[in-house]
Amino acid sequence: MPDLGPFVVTGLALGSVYALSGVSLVILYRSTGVLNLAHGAIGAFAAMLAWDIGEAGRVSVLGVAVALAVSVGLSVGYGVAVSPRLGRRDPVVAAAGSLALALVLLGLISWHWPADLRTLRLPTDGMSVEILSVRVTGTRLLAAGFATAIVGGLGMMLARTRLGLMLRASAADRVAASVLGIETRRSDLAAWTIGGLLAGSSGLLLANLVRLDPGVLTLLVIPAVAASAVGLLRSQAGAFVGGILIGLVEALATPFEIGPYRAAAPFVVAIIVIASRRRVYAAVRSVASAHIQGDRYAGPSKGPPVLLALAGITAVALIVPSALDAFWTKAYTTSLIFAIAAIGVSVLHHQLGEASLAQVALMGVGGWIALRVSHSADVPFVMVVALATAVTAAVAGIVGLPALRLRGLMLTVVTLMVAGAVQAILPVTGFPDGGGGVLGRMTEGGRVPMRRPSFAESDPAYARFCALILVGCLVASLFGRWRSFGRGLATVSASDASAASVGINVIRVKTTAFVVAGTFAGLAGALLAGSTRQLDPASFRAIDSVVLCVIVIAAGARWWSPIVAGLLMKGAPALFSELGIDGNLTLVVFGLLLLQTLLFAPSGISGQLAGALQRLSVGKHP
Amino acid sequence: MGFDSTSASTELRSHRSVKMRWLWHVFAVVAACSAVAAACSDGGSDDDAVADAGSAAPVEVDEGAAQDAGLPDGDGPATSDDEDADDATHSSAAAVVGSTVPDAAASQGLACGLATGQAATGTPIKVGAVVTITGAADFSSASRSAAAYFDCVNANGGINGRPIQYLVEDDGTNPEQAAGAAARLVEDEGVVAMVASTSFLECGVNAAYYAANNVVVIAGTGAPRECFESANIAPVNAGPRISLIGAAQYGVETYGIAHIVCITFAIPNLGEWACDGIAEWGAAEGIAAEVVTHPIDTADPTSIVLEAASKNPDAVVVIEPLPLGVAILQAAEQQDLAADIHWMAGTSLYDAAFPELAGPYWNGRFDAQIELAAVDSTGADNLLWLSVLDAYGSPDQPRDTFSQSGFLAAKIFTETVLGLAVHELEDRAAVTEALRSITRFESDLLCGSFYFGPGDEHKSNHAGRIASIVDGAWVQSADCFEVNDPDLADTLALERQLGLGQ
Repeated sequence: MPDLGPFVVTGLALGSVYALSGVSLVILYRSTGVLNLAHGAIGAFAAMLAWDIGEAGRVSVLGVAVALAVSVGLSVGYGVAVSPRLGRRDPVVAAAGSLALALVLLGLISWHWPADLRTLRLPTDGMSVEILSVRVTGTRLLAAGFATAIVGGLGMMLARTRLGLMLRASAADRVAASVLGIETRRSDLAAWTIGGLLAGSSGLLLANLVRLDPGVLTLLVIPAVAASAVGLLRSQAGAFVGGILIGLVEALATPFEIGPYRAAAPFVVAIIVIASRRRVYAAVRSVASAHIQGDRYAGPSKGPPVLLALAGITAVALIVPSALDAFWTKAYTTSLIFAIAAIGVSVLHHQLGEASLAQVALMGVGGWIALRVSHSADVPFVMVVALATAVTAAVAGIVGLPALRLRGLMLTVVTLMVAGAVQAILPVTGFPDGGGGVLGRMTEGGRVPMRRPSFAESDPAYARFCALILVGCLVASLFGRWRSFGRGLATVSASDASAASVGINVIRVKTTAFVVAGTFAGLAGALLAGSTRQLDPASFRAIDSVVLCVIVIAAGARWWSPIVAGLLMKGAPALFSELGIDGNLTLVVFGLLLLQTLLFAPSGISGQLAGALQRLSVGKHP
Repeated sequence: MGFDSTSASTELRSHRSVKMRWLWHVFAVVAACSAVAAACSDGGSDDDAVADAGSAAPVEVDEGAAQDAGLPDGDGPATSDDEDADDATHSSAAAVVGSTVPDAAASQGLACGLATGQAATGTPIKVGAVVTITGAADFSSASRSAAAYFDCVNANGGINGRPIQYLVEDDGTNPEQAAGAAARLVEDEGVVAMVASTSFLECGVNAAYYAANNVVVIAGTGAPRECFESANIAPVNAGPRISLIGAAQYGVETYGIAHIVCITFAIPNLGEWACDGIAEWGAAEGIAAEVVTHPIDTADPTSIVLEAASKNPDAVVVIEPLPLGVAILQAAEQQDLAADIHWMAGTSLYDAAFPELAGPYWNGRFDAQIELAAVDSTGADNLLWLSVLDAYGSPDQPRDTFSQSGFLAAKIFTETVLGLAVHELEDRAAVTEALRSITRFESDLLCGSFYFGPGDEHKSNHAGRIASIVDGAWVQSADCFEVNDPDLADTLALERQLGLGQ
């Protein structure tokens, strides 16, 4: 048994990092109603500014002042100009909007400050105390103290003061709050100012404690969500304890065999805690009941128009590869594959009213199985895909189990935890590439390419193959909408209780929805493996799952919207690369595009497209 | 969350005027796009650093030289301020330049290619590279120095009169994008070879594709295992595994270490492959060797160094990306772990800024094996590299090992295809054959010499030097020595059999 004493100390130190961000997220969520995924990006921006103003990586008073002022400016700017317009939609859309801000910020930061070696030194670095033979620096103690002060001070403010009451009231229900005479604009201003200060100051501390890397600091928000999820997004004390607990578990895993997998600790801890807390259901009930049906699927249409459209899509999808060069054939195929995955997200979001942030992670699962099977047995490609799809569907069913007790944002958070865990595990296992053993990895020589079906050996043929599968999936999703399954979903999305009262088996409907989403993810993952003939963990990061979900929401609720989502997810970046736009600015454009859709197009991009088509065919504006 | 008054009124307004709303969308998108386009044109990156036919201009010409050459002040197409060299990289793609500018280069007397001082004017020869520029890291230092060298070659007679058009694609640290980039270059652009590619994941993703399309890659800095064990890829560097073993060997020779711990991140074909090398080398040499792996995304470097120290080693070797490397050393400093343990690393931490950022604690306490010559060495090729960057690169571009590797790959390519007949330059098969046939390419940047060689392993670089941190800067502390990676047995046997390298 290794000596665990030192790891208790490092665990507490790491835990204070998670606690700081987690508590900040909870404070902001309670006072604005937004799970702010841009928290880390604002902090990263503040840290880079402070570094730029300081000398030799040492922070000056001016640097800190400017950094905090800019983070407040960003936070308030977003909170006043953008966030209220998203507020009338569900909390998942509000979180999606903040993700768009995060993408814009991360792109601008990486573009303005190209990747380089930087460190941010604080005056507190020089001090240290020794605990259990581990030296703990002053900055770490400062971070822990700061997190405690937030829990005490701001938590008290929210709970006890008039301002706190005002903030909580307008975050819970803006209409009711304004009817009661609360000026929601003023409470917004106060809440987002606090949010900006927290993001900026924790950004400065984390840049010192973790490292001054905008990408790392931005994505640190994902384990921070895990910490706040332990507090069910509503208790800052819970988030504090969650952060410390997560840090302890992660650090204590270090000397054991599972050590390399320890980055999955935050997510595993969060899932276990959420699944085992009885209060959860009640805690999120108010969030779920606030769902507005605005952009849901409006109602199934049948008959010739749909059949005609399907025939048209099939014809176009089959012809397109003939007109594409090698680069665009690949981009086209990948877009079609992500469109298939998008159908799964769309079923969950537009029909059941839940958002899954684990779809791309599930694609990774499907791809892993497909590669493992393909390399170890001489079975036809179609069989490989079928098997991978079935296993992924089963995994998705398990992921969906918490859905039986959860709704709304809390369920979304659980799916994000799954995506985080997959992101932590896949780099360590790698993808099978023709080697032996359980993991199927080569230890010498290059990767063995995955076999494709004999009829789809070339890239254009494979693109057509994927196009046909996509059309098949769209037909399946239409049938799903037309038949009783679709009506069941619609009823459950309105209310579990009313669905149960009309004799719908709520548990079965929900589980089926997750299995269906997993089916599409598994299918897409297996097809992606066939497309690139191998896979790499870099394709299946948690942020990709989040982006896919946001894009599906932005694309809209029509049955053909997933095609738009697939093209946006993978076609748009290819287009930006074709136009020679800097890869970092691609993120910015992408974020702006998402923001404009969320802000100005309640029926999504496909709604905009349909409107434009309609106007064209009518010849005048309606 | 309920309606608020603002959004409700927005909705009402938009119902009244659908047409206005539509116009506003178009305006918003156009505004965003034009803002981006504007930002691109004045900031810009060099992903399309093209040194093409008409624009055989060096990316940057100093004002004085341009005036000597008779160009009106400010009228030189590719002339730019030193501060804004990125601009020049972009304009070089579009500018059309006469024969005046290359005189400036000739006056600097750089021995690039044919060194004629005459601009190449024929049909361009397309050469590609897939580089990680955005995402997890920025390795464009390699392709930027290759682009600078090609610019210099183009200003000096090109490849027998034909300029090189160098096309660089960013893989965005994304596998699908990396595959698309290779397809764009190999099939759509029809490049004859890939030169100075440097990426986190490109080798693994595209190795089979290059083999199937008979394209050879003279890679800049290879890192993952697949860069060294694929049929068509030959990097000029040694890779993390050999570099790390070299550092450990130095530890045995210099400090007499007998127990070593290797710290790395848990990615099978990269970090773990390198540390497995330490374990296999330790077993062969009778040195106790242990491996400590951690998640690549870790926020907790202190646990890592404590785990390493708990094994009571004489030495620790580290193979990490730069930012994480600094974080780990800072954690080690906080725990004062260099008092009894020697710390060493592979080339990935040999960066000019590293000694200062790591701090004075590490003076005299840190050694790194370097896969190419020290950046301040005085060999002819190293001096040429620095001069080419001064004349054709930008002042802010790094002078690091990545840059050396890109330069060296470009030089190897250039001097090899200079031996081809003009009609063969179009022919990918002929170029591939010529590059495959390289049996000995000498350079002071290397310890041995570069060769391509047959088969699936291409590890011509298996000797290196040591640099140590002394008074806040890197100083070379040991000259070339061979690295005893047990995995090199096949490569060494092949070298003896075919007379490759030295």
